[in-house]
Amino acid sequence: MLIPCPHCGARDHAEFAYSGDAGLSRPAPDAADSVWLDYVYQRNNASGDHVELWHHIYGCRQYIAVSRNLRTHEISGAQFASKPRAES
Amino acid sequence: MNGQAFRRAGGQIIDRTKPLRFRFDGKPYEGFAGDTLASALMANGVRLLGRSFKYHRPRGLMAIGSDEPNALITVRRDGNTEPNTRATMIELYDGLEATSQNAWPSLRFDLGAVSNAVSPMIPAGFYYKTFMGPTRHAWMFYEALIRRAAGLGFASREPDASSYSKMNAHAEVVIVGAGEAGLREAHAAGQTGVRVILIDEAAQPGGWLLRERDHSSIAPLIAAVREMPNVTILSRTTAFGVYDGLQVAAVERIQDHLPIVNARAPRQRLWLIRAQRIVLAAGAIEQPLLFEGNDRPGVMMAGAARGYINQFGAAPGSRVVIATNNDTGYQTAFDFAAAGLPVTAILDARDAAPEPLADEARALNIAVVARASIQRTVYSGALRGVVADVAGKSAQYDCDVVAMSGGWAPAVHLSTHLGGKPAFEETRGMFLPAALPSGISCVGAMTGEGLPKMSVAASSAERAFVDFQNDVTIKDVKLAHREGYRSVEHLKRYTTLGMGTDQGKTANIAGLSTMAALTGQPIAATGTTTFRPPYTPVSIGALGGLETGEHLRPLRRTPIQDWHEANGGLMAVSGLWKRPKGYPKPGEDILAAQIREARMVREAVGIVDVSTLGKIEVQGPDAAEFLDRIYCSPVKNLKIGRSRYGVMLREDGVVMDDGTLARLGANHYYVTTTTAQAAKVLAHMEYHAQVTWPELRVSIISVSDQFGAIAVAGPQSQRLLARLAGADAFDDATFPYPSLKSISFGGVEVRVLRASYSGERAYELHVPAAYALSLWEALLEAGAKPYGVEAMAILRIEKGHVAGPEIDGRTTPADLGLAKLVRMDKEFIGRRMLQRPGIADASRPSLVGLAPVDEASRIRSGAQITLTDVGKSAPMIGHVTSSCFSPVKGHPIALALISNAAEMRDKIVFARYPLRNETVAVRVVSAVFYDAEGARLHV
Amino acid sequence: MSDFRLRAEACLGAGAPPRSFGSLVHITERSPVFALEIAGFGAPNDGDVAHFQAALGAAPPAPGAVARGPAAEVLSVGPNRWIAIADTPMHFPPSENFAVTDLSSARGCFLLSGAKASTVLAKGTSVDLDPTVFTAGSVIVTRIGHFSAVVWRPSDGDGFAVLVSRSYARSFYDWVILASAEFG
Repeated sequence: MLIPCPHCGARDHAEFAYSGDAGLSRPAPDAADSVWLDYVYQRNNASGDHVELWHHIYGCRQYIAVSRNLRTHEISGAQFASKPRAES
Repeated sequence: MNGQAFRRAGGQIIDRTKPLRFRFDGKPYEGFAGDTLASALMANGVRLLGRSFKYHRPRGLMAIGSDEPNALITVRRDGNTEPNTRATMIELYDGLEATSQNAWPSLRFDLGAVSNAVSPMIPAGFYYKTFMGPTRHAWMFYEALIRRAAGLGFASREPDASSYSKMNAHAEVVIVGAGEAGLREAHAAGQTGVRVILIDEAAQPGGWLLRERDHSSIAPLIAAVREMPNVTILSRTTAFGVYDGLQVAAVERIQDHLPIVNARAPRQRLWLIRAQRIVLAAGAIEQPLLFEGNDRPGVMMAGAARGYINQFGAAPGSRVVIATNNDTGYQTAFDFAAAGLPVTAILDARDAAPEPLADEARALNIAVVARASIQRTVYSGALRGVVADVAGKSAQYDCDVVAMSGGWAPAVHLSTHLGGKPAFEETRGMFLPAALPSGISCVGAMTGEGLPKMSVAASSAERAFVDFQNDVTIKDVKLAHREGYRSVEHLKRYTTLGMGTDQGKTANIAGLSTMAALTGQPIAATGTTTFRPPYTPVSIGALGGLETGEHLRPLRRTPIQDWHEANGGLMAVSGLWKRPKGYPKPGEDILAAQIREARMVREAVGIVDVSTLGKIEVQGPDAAEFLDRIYCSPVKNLKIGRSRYGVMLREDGVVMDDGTLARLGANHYYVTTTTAQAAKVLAHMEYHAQVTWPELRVSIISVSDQFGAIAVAGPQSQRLLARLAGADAFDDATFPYPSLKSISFGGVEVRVLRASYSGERAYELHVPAAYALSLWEALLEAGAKPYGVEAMAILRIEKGHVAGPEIDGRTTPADLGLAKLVRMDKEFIGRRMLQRPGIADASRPSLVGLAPVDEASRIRSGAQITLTDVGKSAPMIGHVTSSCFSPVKGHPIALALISNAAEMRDKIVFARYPLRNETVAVRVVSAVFYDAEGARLHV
Repeated sequence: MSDFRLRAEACLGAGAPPRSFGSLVHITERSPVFALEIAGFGAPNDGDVAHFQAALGAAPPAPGAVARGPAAEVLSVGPNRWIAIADTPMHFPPSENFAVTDLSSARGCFLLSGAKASTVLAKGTSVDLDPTVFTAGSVIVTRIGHFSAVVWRPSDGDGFAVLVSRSYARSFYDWVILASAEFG
């Protein structure tokens, strides 16, 4: 599988570590218990389109949010998980 | 010996001026350069090449290429004996030593063949029905016996002396198959100037054209492709898989055909090729006809039979019957006739023989019989003839070879690896590649081009073999049908059809058609199985490539490792590192050494290499805020130049790691992690900096490799260091516990942490790694002696400091006695989950110390803690995490995690170790065995 | 005792001399080598670029590129992250927009040259090393076998420069020797 790293270009997935669902955002400290429970423990077992994190540990060490179809493995996009950081 | 009695004129591939000697089952034979083991054995009249998997039936050659289901051979070589290789794919070399498989005591007289006589007893599903369910225990007993009787060759128990290699390659166009279609595609792509890789499993390009009586027509095309500098032809290379991102995996057999192996070069090479476009030109595979005894030696594929004649001048026999349901069988008849081999008859299953082919045959005095299909073979020791149904009447034909053609099935395998689904083309009677992923196309026979219409007639012959390699007959398919296993996936699993090493290349279509006939459904509705990589078996060695032996994992080295190894360090693997357990003196064992080393630290001073610690620089305007959120312990109020112990949690409230934090500047921190968690902590910090709080301006850089680290511990540590860097630098007033100070040692700035793992006054010297060995040697020269990780463990257990065995991925700060460090008045990772009521439950195992009631008793790490010492089922209340002999206590001690720790204090419980049948009475005590008030830090 | 001087060791110590495999692969350790990692907190502004240029003699290179100053080569290793490599110590004055970390001891630098140098690397990395793709002046951070490595084409001569972490350097060197064995 080739993952299009926004910094390094397309790289073999063996350079990356899978790091879970990219759709999670850490709840506010005072969010409801159920919200925290979902964040910490509940994961969707998506069939089809999914946005997931891949950590480019053998490359630029960036977390990449990769849009991938889990049925076909087709990758339709990838961007830095830290969107506010602009690429120089 | 009657040398090569079946060698005929012709044979375009072999070189008759280069005879080669080889042995098969110990017997010497001769062949020629260019032969395969299969063709050489055929030329020598050897018909019996193996025994079948389940029934031990005698088997001969069926095919000529990698689709061969029967002739599985063990090739014996010094340092590399490989079972289950197909005789058709073994190129002959001088001195080749091959043996047959699955026969005992010999191929001709095989005791296992008795199961052939009793085969009605071993239908599909036999093992499961007989040995599963209530009789499962019987399976345990019989398994070993059955496995010995049924099976393939034996893997060598010797280490593989060959080397293997892996190669990544890139090409705009990758073409699989160098037959005519593949060569044309390579030529066209090559002309555009892009990089082209053409992969072919044969020794030379040409494909089936090389098996024609005259293959000169293909020579100019091969020459033209060879001349293109941008086209790489990989011969003897099997493309076995197509993977995501248009990657073709292939294995190249570099030396398997050579008599003398170059030990420095790889035997096989795994190619991982990235393509922009993949063109599959994998051709087609001839399919068998179904009749009783269609597995007998002498019965073979018609295309293979003529291939042996044309390519190698090897005669499959002396008298042939052709059985076909399509036109290609006629070519085989003509080639036999041209080689001077009599053709008894062409039995054509179709209603009418095709013109003008039939005329051409009759002109050669070959009988052509329409509406004829073989019912059974006549076999006694060798093939004697066939009995055929000719328009409803029975007729016998003499022969010692049956060349059969059940039609040609496109080799769709590689087209399915990325999810392509072959579609059954009703009008042509074959599966064709379909639903191809973008970037993959198919050409040539693989698309059905030039192939005759397929019509697999169902047969009622019970003992007609559908899958030769896995011994599946029509009877087995009928049984599966009767018992409801009608979906093709169920059929496969119930009968093992198509599950052999050949993946049913010559079996799947026959099995599918048989099931379709039984259910009365069309083939398209019956389905097809999914082909998965590898197309043909791949040796594990090739998949491993260079990453084997000492290169299976990388080895990390501290800058001081050479010294440990040269100076009596007893090295032990620790993750990717090797660390000294201790430095036993002559006549001393490691246990004595570690106790001596631990005492040395308590009483004087010792040095230990702790370079394996993870070290991270955290910098930036938001560094303090960031670390405050990462650690559950306080960070922000740490003053510049000071350090402290820190603990970080996972988001679920469980302790992730601990270490030292030091503040080098307002926006600059230096933190350490444990050896084992270094990579995980770095990734954890990067995750939260990039994903959770991208707005924080912070930089995280690993400096684990930048700094070697040496802990100098013991009451004399200060004096020792003063000798090297001056007493002023180590004045307690300006360098209190705990803090960090940059001190110059021999002209190099060293980060000195006043931190202690042993409980004694101690200093950690973090020195740029290039100077670490030199500093270590300077410390030794100043009088220090080294200690190893075992002594380090003793010292920390005596102090009740937690480490990996306690921070086990299940424990919270409170479980580890660290609750006081947690600052609930700030936000940090894991805070919310720490507030769950269950987290504070007293029954959660938490940290205690254990001391044996009888001081001579050893407590083992991993022992279960129970309240009573009787009964198998005494409930477990915890377990021993770490244990050692304590020099300061003079007896064994241990740390443990037990339930209701507070109320268990001072009670006697039992440490049980069933593996050694040990039960030790122990008293629950404080986890801190030594210097609870911490006075030793300042001595 | 306090008049002693600490001595610097090359990554591989004294035990790994340059090796050649026929005329096809040569490997040497570049030593001494000095390295600084510079990380920007966000994309650099004009002032940052000037500061960077004044310190290292080259502006921050774009992703995948190498910039060459009079003394240092500057390699792009991540978004707003660079490693400067030189034969002598470098000085990067403090700046509130950059984190600067000395990695001179943290990395081993190897030079691979010869006709089969790229073949040896291709045994370990899946990145296309073809000179038309991996051109002079470009740098990659990739995986070679088990190792994370920075690879670029050095300014002086052919071949590749490879930066690996110090603790892995010996293991990497042994791997290169193993991968080169078939060439001599």
